Amino acid sequence: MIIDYPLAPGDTKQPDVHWSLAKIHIPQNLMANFATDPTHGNILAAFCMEVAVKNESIPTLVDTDVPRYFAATAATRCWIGMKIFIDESGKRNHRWYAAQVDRDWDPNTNTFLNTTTENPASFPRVTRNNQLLTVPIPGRRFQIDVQRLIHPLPLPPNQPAYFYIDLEAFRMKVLQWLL
Amino acid sequence: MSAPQSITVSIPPNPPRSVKHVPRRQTQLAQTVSQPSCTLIQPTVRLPASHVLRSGTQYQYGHLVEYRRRNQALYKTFRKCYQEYIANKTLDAASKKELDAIRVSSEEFDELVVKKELRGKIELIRGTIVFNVWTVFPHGTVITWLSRHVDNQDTNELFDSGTGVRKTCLFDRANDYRLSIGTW
Repeated sequence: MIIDYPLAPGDTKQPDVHWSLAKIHIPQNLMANFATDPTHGNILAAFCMEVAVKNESIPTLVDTDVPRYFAATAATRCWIGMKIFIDESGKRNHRWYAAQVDRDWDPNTNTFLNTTTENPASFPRVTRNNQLLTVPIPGRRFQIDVQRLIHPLPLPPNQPAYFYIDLEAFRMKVLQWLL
Repeated sequence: MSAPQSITVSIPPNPPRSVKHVPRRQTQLAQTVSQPSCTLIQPTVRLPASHVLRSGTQYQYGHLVEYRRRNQALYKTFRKCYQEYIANKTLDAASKKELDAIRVSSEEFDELVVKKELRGKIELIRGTIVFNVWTVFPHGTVITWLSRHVDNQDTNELFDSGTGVRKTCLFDRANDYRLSIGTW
């Protein structure tokens, strides 16, 4: 596990979970394609997650944090945010919100852009009454394109093309924790 | 952050107290100061690789000696807060306000807390040192579950995963849980 992971040089934002391409897989001639933290030489994270329970409101999570994750100096190519709203009334009407945002890719110039697109599996943005945790969402999942995370490296032969976040499995797990 | 620039300056005969390991005669020589663009990091003082005595004897150093001046204000404020925290398990508002006013870099946090393996729950969160701050369940549990969920699919170990949060303990990523009431 790598600790001490600023999101980008000069940005003190620290993701809750991050994945950065292991240096061992990067040939020397492609090393320049992956941004590094000048302090430690670590490859900056390509895939980040932010989890919020009490700390970050949805506007902070989505409107403030996401632009930082996809700033020009950050290397984030995919971001997933999860927010759990605990029902403090004791009625256990817990709610949740989940979103996936990907950095846009320009196929003409073969470069990543500083713009983003929200994955259609993301929950709708509402000002109140987010999705109830007790409502099943069978088959709903986030799909993370591994090729995009490791570009310009080729996908290893036996590497699954996508990582999946099974949102229904996640929902059931959280429900189980909160019961 | 732009690359550090090198400039040459003359260090005054009486060096600041924090540069206490620099011999007096060496400080009278011109020294190279690497000036980082980030103001949080104190300048690094590089001593010359050799120096000549009045007798003409020349001493060659086998290694490049680097001194990083300590951020004395941060050190003093942190020490005061830490002692309060260890003694009372809490901080008074004035001390906390004083510490919150100082932006702390990862390197400074390393020097102050991590390398000294200080007791207690001390973290660097977004440039601020915090004491005894716990996440609300199931924050840490969710992080661990998601991390494991993705890592299990990374069959070629293409990625190194981790948490960005600076912590004094490697095992408290799921830090919703205290060991027992009243413990760290």
